[in-house]
Amino acid sequence: MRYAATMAALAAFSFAAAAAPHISRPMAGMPAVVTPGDAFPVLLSEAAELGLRAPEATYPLPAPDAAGLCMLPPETKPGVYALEARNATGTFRRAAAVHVLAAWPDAYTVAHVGNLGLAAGDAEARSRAAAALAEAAQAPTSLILISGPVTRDGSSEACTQVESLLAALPVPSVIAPEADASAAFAAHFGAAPNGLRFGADAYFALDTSGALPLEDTAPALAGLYSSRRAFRAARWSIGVTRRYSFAVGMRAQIALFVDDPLDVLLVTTAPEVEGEVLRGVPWGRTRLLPAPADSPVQRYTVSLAGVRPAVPPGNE
Amino acid sequence: MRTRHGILALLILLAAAVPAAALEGEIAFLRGDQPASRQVCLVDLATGTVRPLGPGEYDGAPVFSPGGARVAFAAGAGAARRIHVVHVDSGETQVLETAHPWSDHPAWSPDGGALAYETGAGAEALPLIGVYTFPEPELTPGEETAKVTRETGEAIWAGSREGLLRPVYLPNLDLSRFLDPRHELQVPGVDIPRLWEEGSATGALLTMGIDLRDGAVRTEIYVVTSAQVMPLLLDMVIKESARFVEWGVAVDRKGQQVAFETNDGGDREVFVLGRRGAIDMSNHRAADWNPVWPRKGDWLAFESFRGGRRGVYVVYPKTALVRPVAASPDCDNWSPAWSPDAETIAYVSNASGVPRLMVVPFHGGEARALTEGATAEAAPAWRPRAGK
Repeated sequence: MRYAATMAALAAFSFAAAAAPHISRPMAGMPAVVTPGDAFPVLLSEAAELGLRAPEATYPLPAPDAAGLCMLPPETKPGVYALEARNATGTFRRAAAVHVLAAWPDAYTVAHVGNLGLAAGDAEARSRAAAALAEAAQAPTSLILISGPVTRDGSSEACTQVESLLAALPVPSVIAPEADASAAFAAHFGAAPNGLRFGADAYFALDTSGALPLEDTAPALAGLYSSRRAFRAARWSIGVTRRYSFAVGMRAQIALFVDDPLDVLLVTTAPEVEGEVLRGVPWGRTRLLPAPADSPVQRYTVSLAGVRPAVPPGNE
Repeated sequence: MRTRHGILALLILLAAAVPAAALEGEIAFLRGDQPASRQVCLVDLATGTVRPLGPGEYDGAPVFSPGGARVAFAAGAGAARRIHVVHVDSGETQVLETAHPWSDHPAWSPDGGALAYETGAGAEALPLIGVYTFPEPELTPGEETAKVTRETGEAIWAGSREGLLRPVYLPNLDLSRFLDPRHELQVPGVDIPRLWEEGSATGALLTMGIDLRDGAVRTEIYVVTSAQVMPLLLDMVIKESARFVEWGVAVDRKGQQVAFETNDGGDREVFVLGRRGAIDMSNHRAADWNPVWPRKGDWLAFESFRGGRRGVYVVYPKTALVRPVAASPDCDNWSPAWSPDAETIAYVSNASGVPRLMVVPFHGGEARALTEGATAEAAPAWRPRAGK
């Protein structure tokens, strides 16, 4: 009996030692956005040596602590880095997984892109998405938020296309988890966080997709509530979603628009109630900022003065 | 002497063979990783056997009839969502014929003879309240049931007022004894004596009501009968006159206490409205929500974030004593459901990484999973035992 247990333990150990590392987080689409000296969460399949790689600089990283947090060396130069994990059996690299900023900006521009809609074998959709992302990434954008279905078919190929398009961008881009409830999407990107800190501001993703969104029984509800509480002290709390409808889950709406009201909700589709376009979430304090119907990209300036639609270049 | 020792040894062996907390009964629940594939299933607690009851097309949370013979739930999406009623033992399913294509959130009448539900044009429409009356009540004569004469089939209640959600039946009209404002207040458009008369004749519901006038949302609790709608007039019992957002109304089995959530006090709290007025039972700076009454006993279960994560707690309304039942800093626990004898609470936990059904003895003890597998589970509902 003892012999069998020992052999099983040895087998398990040798299996673990033989596996190449895999980085589940961060990755393009769900990157770490940090300043030098910050810590960021890393999710690894195996113990491995970590490093940041860029053409002009390379930094070894300390192993993540018990909470999975990895400390960025204070001397790290600003830039976009691949995260590399290496052990005796192999190396795994996530392109554009870590974006290092010199400092958090007091005022910045955020771009909201909706409905990328990539699909396996659809070159036209890919070039349309690439054009929208390139436009969104133009200066002075500091952060890109992507809502709506990023893939139409939820296929593994489309997920790989999404990651590769986002990895080519010079600014961090974050996918709000929405309308991509496929096994392939979950396998590729994992469970997306409900909340994101960007300097003094907090962003929250609302998944309002599907016929029965944000039900009271949904496990994600606890994450949404907890993120909202954790980021309560943010300068501006900003929701991001493809659409707002009064029919989305009541409890989620109560958490986000009543108990701890968001300041602003960015949507890609102008919402209506009984035929009338809404200017604000009807619960009260949260402003609605819909994207214009004729553009896949909407920019906003975020500053001490608030969150406002950015004036298009040439119209200042 | 030898025989006595033999019997003793046999008893010890038997005791060891029976699990410390052997459970009996059945629990209906939802199983499925995505909303589109969620299916109402039933687990036999003695054997662990799971069998499907629903079609597995966006099935909604199951609700047992008071006698436990049937279970109701909504299913379907897209063009139509219908109320399904499944006879648990035979598996026979009745899909209710409703005038509107989208129905959800069914609630049984106290005698099992009718179902109230939200109904309307679609998921985006403000719903009406439908009541579907079956030919016969479920509970046997002699039990305390509302004995009323009704036409079978569907009727739209509340005078066809839109924006009413999450109906629950009032077991009786005891509430009227301490809420009846006929001598003190006038409610525009509501004939209050007639409302209570209607309630006596055909039953009465409590619902949440959405008011979208002036581009702003308000929610309140309403008393609803076939033709009448009246706000529960919480201003009478809550001293503050400011308007709060209420949700999650639940009536105790005697019809004498109404639990609900409100953000009165600055955060979400569970209040109980009874003879002493409306009292904050949970009173904590973290959110408290989803009150659930047992069919026996006086404790009230609810969910709270007071421990840092979503957890299941109980409160004794007479003293507002709160204690945790399933709360952990490492995982979320939610959706409490009482066993018929109120000795055990079923709930959902993501302690294993996937939402799974768990049970825990109400008076303390070890929690354990009810099923095996890695598919997500949700919305447990314990099958009542007929006549208990």
